[in-house]
Amino acid sequence: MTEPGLSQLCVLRVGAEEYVVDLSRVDEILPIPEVTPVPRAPGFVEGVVKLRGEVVPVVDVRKRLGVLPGQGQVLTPSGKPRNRERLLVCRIGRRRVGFLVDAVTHVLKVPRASLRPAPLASGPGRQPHVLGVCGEAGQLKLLLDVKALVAGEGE
Amino acid sequence: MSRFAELLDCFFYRPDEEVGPFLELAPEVEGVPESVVAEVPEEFLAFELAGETYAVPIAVVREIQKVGDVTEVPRAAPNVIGLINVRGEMLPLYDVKVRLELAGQPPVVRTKKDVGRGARVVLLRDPEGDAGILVDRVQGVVKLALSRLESAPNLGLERDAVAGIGRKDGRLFILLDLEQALS
Amino acid sequence: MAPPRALEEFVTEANEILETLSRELFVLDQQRGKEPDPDRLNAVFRGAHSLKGLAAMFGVDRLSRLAHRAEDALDALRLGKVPLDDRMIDTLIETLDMLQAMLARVSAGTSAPDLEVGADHLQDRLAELAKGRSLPAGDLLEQVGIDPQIRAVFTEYEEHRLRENVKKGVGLWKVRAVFGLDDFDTKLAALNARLKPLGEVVSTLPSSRPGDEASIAFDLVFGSGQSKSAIEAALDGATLSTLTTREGPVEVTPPPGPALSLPPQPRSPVPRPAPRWDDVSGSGLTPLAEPTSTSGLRLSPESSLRSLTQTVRVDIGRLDALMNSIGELLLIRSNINRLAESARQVGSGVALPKLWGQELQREARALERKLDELQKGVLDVRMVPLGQVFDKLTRLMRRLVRESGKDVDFAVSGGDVELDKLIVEELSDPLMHLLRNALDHGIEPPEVRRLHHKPSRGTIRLKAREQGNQVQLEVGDDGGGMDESRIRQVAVERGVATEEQTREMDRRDLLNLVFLPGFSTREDVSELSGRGVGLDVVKTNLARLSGLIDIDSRRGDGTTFTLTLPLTLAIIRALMVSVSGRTYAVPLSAVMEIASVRHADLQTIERREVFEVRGQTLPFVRLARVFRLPEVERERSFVVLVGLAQQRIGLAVDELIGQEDIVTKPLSGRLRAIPGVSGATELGDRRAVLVLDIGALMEELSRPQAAAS
Repeated sequence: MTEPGLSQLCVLRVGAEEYVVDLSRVDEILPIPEVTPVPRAPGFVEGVVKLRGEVVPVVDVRKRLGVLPGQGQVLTPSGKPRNRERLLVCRIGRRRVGFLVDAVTHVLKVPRASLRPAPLASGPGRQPHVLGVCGEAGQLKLLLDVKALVAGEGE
Repeated sequence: MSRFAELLDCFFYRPDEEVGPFLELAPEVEGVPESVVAEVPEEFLAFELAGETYAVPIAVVREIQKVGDVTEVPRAAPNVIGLINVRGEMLPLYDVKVRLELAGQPPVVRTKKDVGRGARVVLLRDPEGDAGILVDRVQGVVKLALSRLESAPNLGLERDAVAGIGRKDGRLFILLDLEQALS
Repeated sequence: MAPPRALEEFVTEANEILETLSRELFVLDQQRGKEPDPDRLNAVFRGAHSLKGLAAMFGVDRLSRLAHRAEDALDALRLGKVPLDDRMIDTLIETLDMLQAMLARVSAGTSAPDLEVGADHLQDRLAELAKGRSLPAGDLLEQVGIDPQIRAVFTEYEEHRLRENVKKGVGLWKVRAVFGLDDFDTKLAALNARLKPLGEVVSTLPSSRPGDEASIAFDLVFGSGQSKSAIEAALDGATLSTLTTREGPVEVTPPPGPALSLPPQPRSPVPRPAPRWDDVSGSGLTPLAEPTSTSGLRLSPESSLRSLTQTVRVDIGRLDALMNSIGELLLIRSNINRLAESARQVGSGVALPKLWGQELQREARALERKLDELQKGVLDVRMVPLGQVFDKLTRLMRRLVRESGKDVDFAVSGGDVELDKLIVEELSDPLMHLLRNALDHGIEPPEVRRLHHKPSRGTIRLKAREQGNQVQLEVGDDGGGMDESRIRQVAVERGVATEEQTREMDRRDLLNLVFLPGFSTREDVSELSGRGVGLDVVKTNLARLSGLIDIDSRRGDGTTFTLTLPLTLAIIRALMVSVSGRTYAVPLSAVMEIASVRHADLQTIERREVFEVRGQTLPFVRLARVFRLPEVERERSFVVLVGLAQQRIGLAVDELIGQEDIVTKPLSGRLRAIPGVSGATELGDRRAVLVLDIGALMEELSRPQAAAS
């Protein structure tokens, strides 16, 4: 389906940063449905949503990445910064998890070879949820480690 | 396997990849996983600028107005057509054609007589201050799937102000990058 | 980046606490050496306490920790464990400054590593101060014979206050009051207010003997040097009994080492009340209110008193919104007036429309009056006394004077003059700048002053007074004044003016050179014996408030800066003018006079057009040219004279349209940087009209480089 050597990436925005996830992980992109809080769930779990009878856990990526309220909203030319928020339903193994993100912007087709390690020198050290980068300088997109997002604290 | 290859392995989807203990609770995908993205398309407002069709997300559109009186602002940036009064709020009216290289000079607009019949002011929300842009004609709302949007092709033109390209029913929609378009 | 909303709330709230603290500390500072008012000490303690809690709640730990230390020290202070000496007051004032600095950083969203050391140091000092001696317990209160059961319910603080009263030798009383449940809070507050001038209410205890269903009883423990009859006169129905059991006047020996380093109050000559602990109040007062359910009612008097606050805190943004609505109403009003007027005229000869028109006009006039009231009301709400800023400046100056080693009096007057909240907020920085300059560079060292036969103690004045629609602020010193020849020299050196230009300038023009950007830099201020540190910034800040600044200085006599500000920014009266077919609004506060000038009478100086008005030659500035508008050839122009004294310029316009009350609206953030335009307003036909920023225009036009172009 995908041309050889090319990867399809789903571009999303959280705070001021643009991230990508492998498009084959992405099951659905939905407007934010009502999230039901779950008592005693791990701290990073915002709650659960019901999708066609299934109960899917939801993780707020903003919180998970420590993005402050209001941060990065300049990038959205919008008076209601939250209304581009989306629930990105992803697959991890055979499980489904929902991720709250600020916006899902578009899909990118890039040569697989253009994915490269994150420059460790820049920025305040290695970010734990970033696996690498792609794109040109100035439009750098970070490869989001969705698996790390759902791993428990301290693991 | 190099360190980065390991990381990449984590990045790309494998149906048999490891699942953390937390996800034991999450529902399982039925059947063979297929990369079919079901998504709710985003709504855009489409309008005409010099014969081309442009679009902005409907979420940033505050309202659409007929062109009324426009007050000239001396010594403002060249893409500022003037100041408009929107129910007591004083907002700048911008020309985006110059920025898009669709026109050499911004038009002089003082009253509705200076523009075509179809011309409208599209008021946009913006954290830096709401602003209006002058468009030749408003076409309507179009739904575009985000996952199908393409990056703007490099045509050797100054196209910073273009965020991407959308296609639907054989029509081409040029998505404006507002931040760039108004700068 | 603006702080997130929650943090904004914190900043507002914390600011309010700090302002209260500042006010109370200021009084304590002024009354050094006198016995502090316990209520005041308590207020300061509570302020520190609330700030600690608030900061902790919002996760501003650094601030919370410092406030906590201050609270500890204040607690020891109010319990009389440590004396209120100079060291304590100075430390508290420094702590307050530090807390304010920290809050400013929080508000700006920046971290404050540079404040760390100072904060740590203060914390240590406060901790040291909080270590008081513990007093011998039991002591006095046993001597005077207060029922241990009653003592058991006292807090440590109350016990301390009671002890202080015993030490003073005043009478101790129990006041029993019964109030209806529906209004006991106001009644109790009123009783407290009546008692306060007579002595000290040490404790308010919900009575051990409750009233009936519909009432609640309080026992107030009251210490007073007044006679029984004098106290009873203030009670208004509450009953009085003595608190102590011992016979005779309360005679106590002070404990070794007085808790407060203050002389005890002289004994009151008033005879002591019969000292018995027997309640003579009988059954109390008759209940006052309809029975209401009281089951489980436990009201602490403190929490119920809170409802007494009559003030509401309002976001200034909401007032702006209100002001905007009023502005729109004013527009509608003038439209109605116009309609009424035309109905009256069209209807001449025809009875019905004419009558109807008159009716309409009458109603329109009534509407106008009401609108004026409304407008005035909203403007009043925005007004706050300058004292808020003056207090802060006084504290700052005290410290600066102490540090400078100079001998200086700081005289403040006019703190009660009120100004728009926005202006007051923006004023503190420019004023601080001017005051600091006066101290650093204006006032000479004492030996120099003596040499010039001046009193060795210098004076710096900060004065405010209202003048019509404006407020005038003066910052003056009786220091060395400015050296004109030195100004001339520096101006030429720095290239802000040519030697020729400076020779043509009169004294005032010359002095005003110090406001030009680039006139002086930090390094060489002192050698100029004068000013110039960022005075251009002061001027710009004031211009943003539609204010003007003027300077007067005499060598040897000192320097005075005069700041003229509008009372409010919200609604201003403006002169509407027309240039090349465009309409602009000129704030009337900046307009000195209007003249009509024939172009044939214009002359030029260095190719700059000038005109003469009553023997004075002034620059003739064509607004059309400044704004690069197409100019229409004409024989004469109207000239709007704007500015201050000799600093005037004449703005040439084509036509005068008339005066209007306008609400200036800021231009959207994207257009903020348009030079010479401060905002926009709308006219009756809803057209947007630009409001000229006269300060900025004058600034731009008086710059020598502008003269060359």
